[in-house]
Amino acid sequence: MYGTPDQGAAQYAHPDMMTLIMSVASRWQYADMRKFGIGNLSLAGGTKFPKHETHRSGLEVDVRAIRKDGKQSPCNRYHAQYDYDATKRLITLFIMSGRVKNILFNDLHVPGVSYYTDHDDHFHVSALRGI
Amino acid sequence: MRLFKPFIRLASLALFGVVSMSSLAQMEGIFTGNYIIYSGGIGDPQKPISNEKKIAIEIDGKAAKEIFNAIGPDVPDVCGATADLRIRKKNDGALSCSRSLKGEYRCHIGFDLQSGKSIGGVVC
Repeated sequence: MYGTPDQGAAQYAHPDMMTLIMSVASRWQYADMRKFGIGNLSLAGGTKFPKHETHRSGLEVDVRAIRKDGKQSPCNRYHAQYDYDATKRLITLFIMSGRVKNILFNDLHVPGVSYYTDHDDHFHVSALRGI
Repeated sequence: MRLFKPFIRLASLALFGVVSMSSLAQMEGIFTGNYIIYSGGIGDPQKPISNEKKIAIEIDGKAAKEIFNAIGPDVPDVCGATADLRIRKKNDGALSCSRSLKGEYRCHIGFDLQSGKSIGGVVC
Protein backbone atom coordinates (compact mmCIF):
# COMPACT_ATOMS: atom_id res chain seq x y z
CA MET A 1 0.00 0.00 0.00
CA TYR A 2 1.17 3.50 -0.75
CA GLY A 3 -0.49 6.85 -0.91
CA THR A 4 -1.52 9.95 0.91
CA PRO A 5 -2.42 10.30 3.68
CA ASP A 6 0.17 7.74 4.75
CA GLN A 7 0.05 5.09 7.48
CA GLY A 8 -2.59 3.23 5.50
CA ALA A 9 -5.28 5.81 6.13
CA ALA A 10 -6.60 5.45 2.60
CA GLN A 11 -7.19 1.72 2.52
CA TYR A 12 -10.97 1.67 2.75
CA ALA A 13 -12.29 -0.27 -0.24
CA HIS A 14 -15.76 -1.22 -1.40
CA PRO A 15 -16.26 -5.03 -1.39
CA ASP A 16 -16.43 -4.95 -5.21
CA MET A 17 -13.03 -3.23 -5.31
CA MET A 18 -11.58 -5.74 -2.85
CA THR A 19 -12.78 -8.54 -5.10
CA LEU A 20 -11.18 -6.87 -8.11
CA ILE A 21 -7.82 -6.32 -6.42
CA MET A 22 -7.67 -9.84 -4.99
CA SER A 23 -8.62 -11.32 -8.35
CA VAL A 24 -5.90 -9.39 -10.19
CA ALA A 25 -3.28 -10.03 -7.49
CA SER A 26 -3.84 -13.79 -7.55
CA ARG A 27 -3.39 -13.90 -11.34
CA TRP A 28 -0.42 -11.51 -11.27
CA GLN A 29 1.61 -13.67 -8.88
CA TYR A 30 1.57 -16.59 -11.31
CA ALA A 31 3.55 -14.59 -13.84
CA ASP A 32 5.58 -12.08 -11.86
CA MET A 33 7.29 -12.09 -8.48
CA ARG A 34 7.35 -8.31 -8.19
CA LYS A 35 4.79 -6.66 -5.98
CA PHE A 36 2.64 -3.98 -7.55
CA GLY A 37 1.77 -0.85 -5.62
CA ILE A 38 -1.82 -0.03 -4.84
CA GLY A 39 -2.93 3.03 -2.95
CA ASN A 40 -5.33 5.90 -2.54
CA LEU A 41 -8.50 3.86 -2.13
CA SER A 42 -10.81 5.85 0.15
CA LEU A 43 -10.69 7.36 3.61
CA ALA A 44 -12.89 6.15 6.43
CA GLY A 45 -16.42 7.43 6.03
CA GLY A 46 -15.83 8.48 2.42
CA THR A 47 -14.66 11.92 3.42
CA LYS A 48 -13.02 14.14 0.80
CA PHE A 49 -9.69 12.84 -0.36
CA PRO A 50 -6.82 15.33 -0.45
CA LYS A 51 -5.60 16.18 -3.97
CA HIS A 52 -8.09 13.81 -5.60
CA GLU A 53 -11.44 14.52 -7.22
CA THR A 54 -12.81 11.06 -6.57
CA HIS A 55 -11.59 8.22 -4.30
CA ARG A 56 -14.54 8.58 -1.94
CA SER A 57 -16.67 5.54 -2.74
CA GLY A 58 -14.08 2.81 -2.31
CA LEU A 59 -14.53 2.00 -5.97
CA GLU A 60 -11.41 3.83 -7.20
CA VAL A 61 -7.80 2.84 -6.75
CA ASP A 62 -4.43 4.08 -8.01
CA VAL A 63 -1.82 1.56 -9.11
CA ARG A 64 1.82 2.42 -9.67
CA ALA A 65 3.47 1.68 -12.99
CA ILE A 66 5.73 -1.37 -12.71
CA ARG A 67 9.46 -0.76 -12.36
CA LYS A 68 12.04 -3.01 -13.97
CA ASP A 69 14.03 -3.16 -10.73
CA GLY A 70 10.96 -4.07 -8.69
CA LYS A 71 11.52 -1.27 -6.17
CA GLN A 72 8.42 -0.09 -4.39
CA SER A 73 8.67 3.53 -5.38
CA PRO A 74 7.04 5.67 -8.05
CA CYS A 75 8.15 5.53 -11.66
CA ASN A 76 6.70 7.52 -14.51
CA ARG A 77 6.40 6.32 -18.09
CA TYR A 78 9.38 8.38 -19.24
CA HIS A 79 11.76 6.86 -16.67
CA ALA A 80 14.37 4.29 -17.67
CA GLN A 81 13.02 1.95 -15.01
CA TYR A 82 9.51 1.99 -16.47
CA ASP A 83 8.57 -1.56 -17.46
CA TYR A 84 6.11 -1.16 -20.29
CA ASP A 85 5.51 -4.87 -20.84
CA ALA A 86 4.78 -5.60 -17.18
CA THR A 87 2.60 -2.53 -16.74
CA LYS A 88 0.65 -3.49 -19.85
CA ARG A 89 0.26 -7.04 -18.50
CA LEU A 90 -1.04 -5.73 -15.18
CA ILE A 91 -3.51 -3.37 -16.81
CA THR A 92 -4.71 -6.20 -19.05
CA LEU A 93 -5.43 -8.30 -15.95
CA PHE A 94 -7.60 -5.51 -14.58
CA ILE A 95 -9.48 -5.19 -17.85
CA MET A 96 -9.89 -8.95 -18.33
CA SER A 97 -11.50 -9.20 -14.89
CA GLY A 98 -14.65 -7.69 -16.37
CA ARG A 99 -15.00 -5.60 -13.23
CA VAL A 100 -13.53 -2.34 -14.50
CA LYS A 101 -15.43 0.76 -15.54
CA ASN A 102 -12.42 2.64 -16.93
CA ILE A 103 -8.65 3.01 -16.56
CA LEU A 104 -6.81 6.32 -16.84
CA PHE A 105 -3.14 6.11 -17.84
CA ASN A 106 -1.07 8.23 -20.15
CA ASP A 107 0.95 5.58 -21.95
CA LEU A 108 -1.53 5.20 -24.78
CA HIS A 109 0.44 2.31 -26.26
CA VAL A 110 -1.25 0.24 -23.57
CA PRO A 111 -4.60 -0.95 -24.94
CA GLY A 112 -7.74 -0.04 -23.05
CA VAL A 113 -6.56 3.09 -21.25
CA SER A 114 -7.63 6.71 -21.55
CA TYR A 115 -5.44 9.78 -21.25
CA TYR A 116 -5.96 12.07 -18.30
CA THR A 117 -3.70 14.76 -16.90
CA ASP A 118 -1.16 13.64 -14.27
CA HIS A 119 -1.48 9.93 -14.89
CA ASP A 120 2.11 9.34 -15.98
CA ASP A 121 3.33 7.45 -12.91
CA HIS A 122 0.21 5.51 -11.99
CA PHE A 123 -3.02 4.32 -13.48
CA HIS A 124 -6.42 5.04 -11.98
CA VAL A 125 -8.94 2.22 -11.95
CA SER A 126 -12.66 2.74 -11.47
CA ALA A 127 -14.43 -0.49 -10.55
CA LEU A 128 -17.92 -1.42 -11.56
CA ARG A 129 -20.39 -1.83 -8.76
CA GLY A 130 -22.50 -4.94 -8.26
CA ILE A 131 -20.69 -7.22 -10.73
CA MET B 1 -41.15 64.70 -18.10
CA ARG B 2 -38.33 65.66 -20.43
CA LEU B 3 -36.75 67.64 -17.61
CA PHE B 4 -36.55 64.50 -15.52
CA LYS B 5 -34.92 62.32 -18.15
CA PRO B 6 -31.32 63.37 -17.47
CA PHE B 7 -31.97 62.99 -13.76
CA ILE B 8 -33.38 59.51 -14.28
CA ARG B 9 -30.38 58.62 -16.43
CA LEU B 10 -27.97 59.89 -13.78
CA ALA B 11 -29.88 58.09 -11.06
CA SER B 12 -29.76 54.90 -13.10
CA LEU B 13 -26.03 55.24 -13.60
CA ALA B 14 -25.50 55.92 -9.92
CA LEU B 15 -27.66 52.96 -8.97
CA PHE B 16 -25.83 50.75 -11.46
CA GLY B 17 -22.53 51.94 -10.05
CA VAL B 18 -23.56 51.12 -6.51
CA VAL B 19 -24.77 47.68 -7.57
CA SER B 20 -21.52 47.06 -9.42
CA MET B 21 -19.41 48.11 -6.45
CA SER B 22 -21.59 46.00 -4.19
CA SER B 23 -21.10 43.00 -6.50
CA LEU B 24 -17.38 43.51 -6.45
CA ALA B 25 -17.41 43.64 -2.69
CA GLN B 26 -19.29 40.35 -2.57
CA MET B 27 -16.50 38.70 -4.56
CA GLU B 28 -13.90 39.52 -1.97
CA GLY B 29 -13.10 37.54 1.10
CA ILE B 30 -10.73 35.30 2.94
CA PHE B 31 -10.40 31.79 1.70
CA THR B 32 -9.61 28.58 3.51
CA GLY B 33 -7.77 25.56 2.27
CA ASN B 34 -4.51 23.69 2.43
CA TYR B 35 -1.39 23.05 0.40
CA ILE B 36 1.36 20.54 -0.13
CA ILE B 37 4.88 21.07 -1.44
CA TYR B 38 6.15 17.96 -3.13
CA SER B 39 8.15 16.37 -5.92
CA GLY B 40 7.08 13.76 -8.45
CA GLY B 41 3.44 13.45 -9.45
CA ILE B 42 0.55 14.86 -7.45
CA GLY B 43 -1.05 11.40 -7.47
CA ASP B 44 1.99 9.89 -5.75
CA PRO B 45 3.74 12.86 -4.14
CA GLN B 46 7.23 12.54 -2.68
CA LYS B 47 9.25 14.83 -0.44
CA PRO B 48 10.44 17.94 -2.25
CA ILE B 49 14.06 17.83 -3.40
CA SER B 50 16.49 20.62 -4.18
CA ASN B 51 15.84 20.74 -7.93
CA GLU B 52 12.18 19.75 -7.88
CA LYS B 53 9.59 21.56 -5.82
CA LYS B 54 5.94 21.88 -6.73
CA ILE B 55 2.97 23.19 -4.81
CA ALA B 56 -0.63 22.05 -4.92
CA ILE B 57 -3.19 24.37 -3.34
CA GLU B 58 -6.71 23.39 -2.37
CA ILE B 59 -9.33 26.06 -1.79
CA ASP B 60 -12.64 25.22 -0.18
CA GLY B 61 -15.71 26.90 1.25
CA LYS B 62 -17.26 30.05 -0.18
CA ALA B 63 -14.29 30.96 -2.36
CA ALA B 64 -14.40 27.54 -4.02
CA LYS B 65 -18.11 27.94 -4.63
CA GLU B 66 -17.56 31.32 -6.27
CA ILE B 67 -14.85 29.90 -8.54
CA PHE B 68 -16.94 26.83 -9.38
CA ASN B 69 -19.85 29.05 -10.39
CA ALA B 70 -17.58 31.23 -12.50
CA ILE B 71 -16.03 28.48 -14.62
CA GLY B 72 -18.99 26.44 -15.80
CA PRO B 73 -20.28 24.36 -17.39
CA ASP B 74 -19.63 20.92 -15.90
CA VAL B 75 -17.16 18.65 -17.66
CA PRO B 76 -18.93 15.42 -18.54
CA ASP B 77 -17.70 11.97 -17.58
CA VAL B 78 -14.27 12.77 -16.20
CA CYS B 79 -12.45 10.66 -13.65
CA GLY B 80 -15.21 8.08 -13.95
CA ALA B 81 -17.18 10.50 -11.83
CA THR B 82 -20.75 9.66 -10.97
CA ALA B 83 -23.71 11.98 -10.70
CA ASP B 84 -22.65 12.49 -7.08
CA LEU B 85 -19.80 14.71 -8.22
CA ARG B 86 -19.82 17.67 -10.59
CA ILE B 87 -16.45 18.72 -11.99
CA ARG B 88 -15.45 21.88 -13.83
CA LYS B 89 -12.05 22.52 -15.37
CA LYS B 90 -10.16 25.16 -17.28
CA ASN B 91 -6.85 25.07 -19.15
CA ASP B 92 -6.50 21.29 -19.24
CA GLY B 93 -7.07 21.00 -15.50
CA ALA B 94 -4.72 23.78 -14.40
CA LEU B 95 -7.80 25.10 -12.61
CA SER B 96 -10.19 22.43 -11.39
CA CYS B 97 -13.26 22.64 -9.18
CA SER B 98 -15.78 20.15 -7.93
CA ARG B 99 -19.08 20.08 -6.08
CA SER B 100 -20.17 17.00 -4.16
CA LEU B 101 -23.73 15.88 -3.65
CA LYS B 102 -23.44 17.18 -0.09
CA GLY B 103 -22.70 20.64 -1.45
CA GLU B 104 -18.99 20.67 -0.66
CA TYR B 105 -16.99 22.82 -3.05
CA ARG B 106 -13.26 22.38 -3.70
CA CYS B 107 -10.93 24.01 -6.17
CA HIS B 108 -7.34 23.09 -6.97
CA ILE B 109 -4.44 24.91 -8.53
CA GLY B 110 -0.74 24.15 -8.57
CA PHE B 111 2.59 25.51 -9.65
CA ASP B 112 6.06 24.26 -10.44
CA LEU B 113 8.09 26.29 -7.97
CA GLN B 114 11.20 26.15 -10.14
CA SER B 115 9.60 27.60 -13.26
CA GLY B 116 6.47 29.20 -11.84
CA LYS B 117 4.37 27.43 -14.44
CA SER B 118 0.83 26.38 -13.65
CA ILE B 119 0.62 22.58 -13.42
CA GLY B 120 -2.68 21.88 -11.70
CA GLY B 121 -3.13 20.53 -8.23
CA VAL B 122 -5.42 17.53 -8.32
CA VAL B 123 -5.83 14.15 -9.97
CA CYS B 124 -8.77 11.85 -10.35
